[in-house]
Amino acid sequence: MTSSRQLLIIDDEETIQTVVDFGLKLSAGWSLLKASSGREGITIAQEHSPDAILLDVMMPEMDGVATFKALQADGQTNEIPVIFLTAKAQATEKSQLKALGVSGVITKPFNALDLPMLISRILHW
Amino acid sequence: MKILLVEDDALLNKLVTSHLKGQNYVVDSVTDGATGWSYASTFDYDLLILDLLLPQLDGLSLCQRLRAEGDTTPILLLTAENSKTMKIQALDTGADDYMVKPFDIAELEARIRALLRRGQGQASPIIAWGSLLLNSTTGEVSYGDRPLKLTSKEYKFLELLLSSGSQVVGVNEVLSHLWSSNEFPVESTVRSHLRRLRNKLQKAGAPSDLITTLHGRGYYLKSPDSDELTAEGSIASKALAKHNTEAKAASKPDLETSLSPTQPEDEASVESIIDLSKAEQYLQFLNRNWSSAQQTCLDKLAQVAQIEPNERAALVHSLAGTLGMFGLNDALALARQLEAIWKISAEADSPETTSLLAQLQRIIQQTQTIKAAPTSCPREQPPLWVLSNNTDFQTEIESFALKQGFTIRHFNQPKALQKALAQDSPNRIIAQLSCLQDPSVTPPQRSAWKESLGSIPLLIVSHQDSLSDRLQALRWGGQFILHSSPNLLDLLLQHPSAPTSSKLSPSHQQIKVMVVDDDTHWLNTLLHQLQNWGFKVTTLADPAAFWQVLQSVNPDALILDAKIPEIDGFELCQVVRHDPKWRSLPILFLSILNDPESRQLAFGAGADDYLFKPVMVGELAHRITSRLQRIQSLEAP
Repeated sequence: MTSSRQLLIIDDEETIQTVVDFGLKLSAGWSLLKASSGREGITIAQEHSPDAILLDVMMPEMDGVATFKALQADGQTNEIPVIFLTAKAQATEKSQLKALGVSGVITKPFNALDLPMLISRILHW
Repeated sequence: MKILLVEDDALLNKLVTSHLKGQNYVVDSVTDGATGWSYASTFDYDLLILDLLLPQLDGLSLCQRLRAEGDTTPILLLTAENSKTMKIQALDTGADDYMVKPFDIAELEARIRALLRRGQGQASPIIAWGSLLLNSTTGEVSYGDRPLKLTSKEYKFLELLLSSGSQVVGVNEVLSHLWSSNEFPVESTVRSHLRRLRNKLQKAGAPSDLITTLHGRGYYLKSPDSDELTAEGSIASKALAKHNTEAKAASKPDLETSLSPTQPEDEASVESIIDLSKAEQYLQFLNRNWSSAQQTCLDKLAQVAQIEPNERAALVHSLAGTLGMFGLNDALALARQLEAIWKISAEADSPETTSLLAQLQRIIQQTQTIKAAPTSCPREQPPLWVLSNNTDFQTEIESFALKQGFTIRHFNQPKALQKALAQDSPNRIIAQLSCLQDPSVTPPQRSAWKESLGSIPLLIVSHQDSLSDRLQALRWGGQFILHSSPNLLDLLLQHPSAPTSSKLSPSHQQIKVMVVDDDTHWLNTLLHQLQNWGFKVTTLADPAAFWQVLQSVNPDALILDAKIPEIDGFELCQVVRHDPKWRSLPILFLSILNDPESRQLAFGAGADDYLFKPVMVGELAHRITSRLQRIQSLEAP
């Protein structure tokens, strides 16, 4: 957890991006790239190759699942681990999400200070 | 062992804290007397270290205030003033020890250890349990002659179990002893530490059930075999002799090497450990951002009336996301209720949705400051697993869960649920007894089922209240509940470890004790003796009327004989324990059976204490009242 990481969040809620950014920095000194839609996220992922992607499941237009499939299909991004962010009420689909091949699922709401610990555990960092 | 350090000198505070943490203590450190008071009066500590000169409330006044409140936690005072008057004053105020700055850290440690031992009524630094030895001075642990390499959390866990003897240690107790008050571990973390500790013990030759799980209640150490007991004295005294020789040889310990004999923390070090100052900064950040987020939320609410009905669920979903990040749990629950309603039916407004929207708007408008950041695993919305093949029952639980924002997972077969437990763990399971009544299930299969449950609470629902159904529920490791019970849904909302009944001890004179024993002569003697001690006593010689008498007497404590004709006292104890109403009832066994197996059975059945006949009534009275006080202190908010 001491090494510095760069993550990408794809979430249409700007507030969530801001809070996650602050929490990651404060808790572990990690930096965050932000995208508000699936398409924007894919472009940023291709350009910057972040260490991991936090992906919101429920987004307008291109949802999390479609974004994940597109990331997997692209040779530039298919190696980047993806963690889904999902609301508790949807966590019933957790196993279905995992079956898609994502690295893990983090349930909302969360305390952004816990994220580095949760992510490190999921990705065995 | 948990220590509170109140020291305003930042450097010294940091130094002592990090040193003590390295010695396997859990340390909360604060820098002023007022915060010290609020910590000491809120959390349980094994030792308080107070500086004399503190901002807001000085160490002496703090000490005085704690003692006046009846707090008996050992207190060590630190000060720069080396005067006789001050020392006398400190000790007279209620401090147990006194150290003058600058002090030697090794001496501080030795004094801490001595105070902690005294606090626990422990004369020696070596605690022995059969072949298991723990040396609290060196931090070494061994089983037989094999040393164990434990992480700091595993060490603390074992130390807590050892210092509790055969008493059951609840998950809450483990959480509060192993983690400092600004950390937020979850129950599954306890289980994972326990799993590793058990593995290490087993590798060293300990029985696999040395640390036994009592479903829904906690953990305890299984009594050693009688051979081990005989050997225990000599093992402990040998260990103590060795310890003393080594201590003499190293009168000036090498701090570098003596700091911590344990391995560095592995996964434990990445637990949700949040530094208090970071948590404060995070909260401040949330507050700085709240006014703009508040406006966004209100704008979204205003949009609800303007958008297509089928877009509403998605809109309140995103609203819920924002509210959750700011820890506004009440508003979050309302948004989720709306989401659930609009997901099922995208109809136009109903009186229910209008009222929910109005409530939601009011909460958002009225929230001026964010008081607490969210926890990553909100306790009010536990994931719930349902074992049932009755669609009405499934729908009933599901609609309730949807409203409360629970996650639900359905199972038809116990086997499928058991299989899923290997991958994932719910906060609670609710099962219909009918699903479990399979005559082909063997007792070993049932034991395996109970083992896989761990300490996950299981509610077993039945349509009839009979002793046989209660026994069945018990054998499956569950808590019996009637389907018609008005508490059924409330129970699903409770945090698993929350005490279900708050039976605070009344004044000594009013304590109601119920005694069950088939020996009427003995019952009579006990009745008069306990009455002389001021107890209200009800005796029962015929266990057939047990349940009715228990309900009508509503005792504060229950005394059971182990061997009652026609019914097994241990099983009777389990039946009582499995009813949520009686979960906290102190149960004491009074028996002529003086063997470790019977003690084991009693504690395994949920007993709080085990005494042999004949017993001195003063001893019995003391055990009853101390048990009630312990429950009272655990249940206090």
